[in-house]
Amino acid sequence: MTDLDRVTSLRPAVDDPTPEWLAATRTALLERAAEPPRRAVRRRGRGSLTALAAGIAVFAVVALVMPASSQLIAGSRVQYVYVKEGFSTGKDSALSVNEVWYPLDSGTPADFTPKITLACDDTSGKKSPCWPSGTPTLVAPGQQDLHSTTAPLDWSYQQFKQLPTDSQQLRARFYDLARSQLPAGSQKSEEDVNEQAFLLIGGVLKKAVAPQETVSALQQVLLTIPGVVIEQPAKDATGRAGIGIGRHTTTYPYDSTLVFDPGTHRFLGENQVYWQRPGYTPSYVVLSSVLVDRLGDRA
Amino acid sequence: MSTPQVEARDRLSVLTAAADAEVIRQSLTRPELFALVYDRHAITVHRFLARRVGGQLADDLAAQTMLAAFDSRKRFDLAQESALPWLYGIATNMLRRQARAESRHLRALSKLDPHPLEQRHDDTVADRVSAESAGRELAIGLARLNPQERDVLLLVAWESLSYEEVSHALDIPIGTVRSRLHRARTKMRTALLEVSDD
Repeated sequence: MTDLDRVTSLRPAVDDPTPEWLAATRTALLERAAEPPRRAVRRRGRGSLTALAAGIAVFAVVALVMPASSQLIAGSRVQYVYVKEGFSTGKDSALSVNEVWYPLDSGTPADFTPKITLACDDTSGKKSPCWPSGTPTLVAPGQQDLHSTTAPLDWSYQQFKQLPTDSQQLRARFYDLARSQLPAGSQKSEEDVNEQAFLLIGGVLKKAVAPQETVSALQQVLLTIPGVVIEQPAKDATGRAGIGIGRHTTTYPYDSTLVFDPGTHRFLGENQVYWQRPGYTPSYVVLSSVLVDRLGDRA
Repeated sequence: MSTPQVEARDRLSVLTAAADAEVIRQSLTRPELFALVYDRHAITVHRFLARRVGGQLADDLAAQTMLAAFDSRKRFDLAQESALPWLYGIATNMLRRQARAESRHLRALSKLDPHPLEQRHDDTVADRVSAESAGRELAIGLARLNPQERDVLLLVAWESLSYEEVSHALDIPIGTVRSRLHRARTKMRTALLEVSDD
């Protein structure tokens, strides 16, 4: 063994950075990327730390202070989560709008048809049929409906509320779930688990029932999943600008980009690109997700 | 039919497989793409720094390294395929910057002490921690190297960089890499022999 080999063999083993560090640093980087170029070039030294600290602080503040919608509603009569969602099959297609009311303790929408139905052209400006209430179709024909799979996509608001909002703990939880959802006996590669975790979180976000603090933490978790790609600016199907977190998938024949509001970290929607169906770029948007007192209430 | 969405995803897919140089080139007009470079190398940079100064300080320095890299990406040599040597160079500068700050602090302290700090204490925290973290045997050898020799030795021995990559990372001629490495190895050899004789 040469002296160089000896030095190499004495290389200290170190821990990898935590997912939280990775998420916070990447966020700081993206915030820097969003700054006007002049300012970005001028900043040096301590400014870097300030930006990083600000990045971490934004996440921390959002996680700790951002109230769940329920806290914005006086009293404790809140009974349902009202979700208004939209779906389009492509850039030029109309947005189909659907409304559902989830009881706080149920992951299944209430069986309810509102007396006053939505004008389905209220967001896209184009006439299109509304979906039947409570039966969202969020995936392409022939594909598995993510809503039909098992927990946590069937969880209620109250169950989501019990999840940790610490992103590291939440990540561990979702990775455990992702592992458990892969076919039994199959060779579970890390890539499979990463992809499943991404899809699982995407499914939860699209259900639009989880409280905002959970959504913010899930965004942080997404940023730690290997293979995700950041799109900034990204837009949802209604044209709202945000930060996109995308990933190629092999489970489904599409790439998925989950779009978040850059300021509030609200989940805005998902854009999909199907590799083998040129021009088929379905999008899903969350138009509203609030806690309401009664079935039929919309705010 | 191609939509802006498809085009955007296509571009990203191509970039995902592209060399760092191409990603950095495109990041000059689309800064957010630099996140791809981050995704590829942030953990490696963090590990490098953690080996040198420990995990806690590595958190700060690695974050500073990636942000500094973003700010200075215009200066990246696009002829280099991989950004990693360049990032090692920025990280090494961060170590040195930390070292200077610590030296100033120690010098200030030494003025207050009736018994001035020994010369060995004028080494930087970064260097001392680096040495300590590698164990006593290695520490004795590393402590005998000057910072420039230590940088070259550890980039080669711990990070598996080629001479050319070290040259690029530290912005020094290859001949200087060789001579620094030679001196470092000679000192290390002597130190390791002495330790094993103890």
